[in-house]
Amino acid sequence: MEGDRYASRVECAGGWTRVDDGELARRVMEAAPGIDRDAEAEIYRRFARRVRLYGRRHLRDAHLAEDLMQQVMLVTLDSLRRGRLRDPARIASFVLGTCRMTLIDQKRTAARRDGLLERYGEDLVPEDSHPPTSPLDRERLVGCLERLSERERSVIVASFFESKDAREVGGALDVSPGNVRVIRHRALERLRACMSADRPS
Amino acid sequence: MTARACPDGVPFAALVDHWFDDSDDAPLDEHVIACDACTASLEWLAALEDAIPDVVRRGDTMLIMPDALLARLRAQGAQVREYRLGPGGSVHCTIAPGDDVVVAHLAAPLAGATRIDLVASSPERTHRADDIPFDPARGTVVLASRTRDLRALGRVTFVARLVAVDAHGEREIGRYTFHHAPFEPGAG
Repeated sequence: MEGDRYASRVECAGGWTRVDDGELARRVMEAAPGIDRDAEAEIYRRFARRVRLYGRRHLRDAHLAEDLMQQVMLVTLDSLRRGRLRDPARIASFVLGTCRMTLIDQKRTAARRDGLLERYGEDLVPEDSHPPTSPLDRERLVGCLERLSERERSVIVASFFESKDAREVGGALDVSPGNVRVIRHRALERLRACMSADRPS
Repeated sequence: MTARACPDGVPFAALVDHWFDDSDDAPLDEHVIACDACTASLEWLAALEDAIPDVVRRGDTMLIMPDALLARLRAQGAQVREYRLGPGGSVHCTIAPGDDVVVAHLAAPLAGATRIDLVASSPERTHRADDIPFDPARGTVVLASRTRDLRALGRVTFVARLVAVDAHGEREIGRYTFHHAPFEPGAG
């Protein structure tokens, strides 16, 4: 019977929010050779988005970041099930190390990922994976961009159009890199406040 | 997006610098991989990175456009309608159904200027944008208009002025007149 393979699914009274990353990792490791699917799903929910962002920042490509995320999560969950983490409390460091290694590996070969996916793909990756970055309210974004000064808007657009660093943006707008950072920080704070504000009724 | 403070006190500005830093050993990587609050902030930046290029490609916002960005738009296949005017110049202009972006290249003696304001006037209203970004060496300001507004216009004339501002006051360095008309197929 399938249920016999699985460890306890008991959650704490407040759901998973009070369970730290290390405790989740420990649950997955202790469940082996059974599978604590709830703990695995929670690890996936927490770390997949963080790894995806790591990938986007380093690869500047949402699809490549998605590939990286899948591979890192496969390796992480596989390692937990096999008890390969010496200290489950250091799962974040393990994930980051795996990100770094995978990034290097990704440039060399895609074979390992394909192999893991073939072996474990459907079993390891929970179906209710966290969705990629939620789209913003476009109308609201446009309205908030319009509230920025021309200089702020130009810096924000130049920065995000192709993820330009401060030196490149400054070169395009005849602004020093230091000033680009100052303008960008201020503009993003204003943009964030505008987009978080309640809509007028 | 609801901003949550990082429990370890990492400021939002540091996350912004982190987002645009491509180095492999960024010091904040270790923190961010374990922090939900910082992850939420970075997800918002990622969402901006998804959304803003599309806003620009559709001409949804008025923008002083850097040359490099205009070149990228063209390279990506955007339909860019462009008008070029010198100081005192005027032009008959429109927006066609297939146009994604409409820009005006406003030539002006920018050398020596420390601050430039843009003043745009239509019969209904005047809008002044203070301290616009410009490159004195280029001698041109590239202004992208909001295409939705242009499509809604009937026949109208509006004027744009570039004004140099310094400690002694301000002086007009360029005036540009746009005679806008709705698109007429075959009208050239």
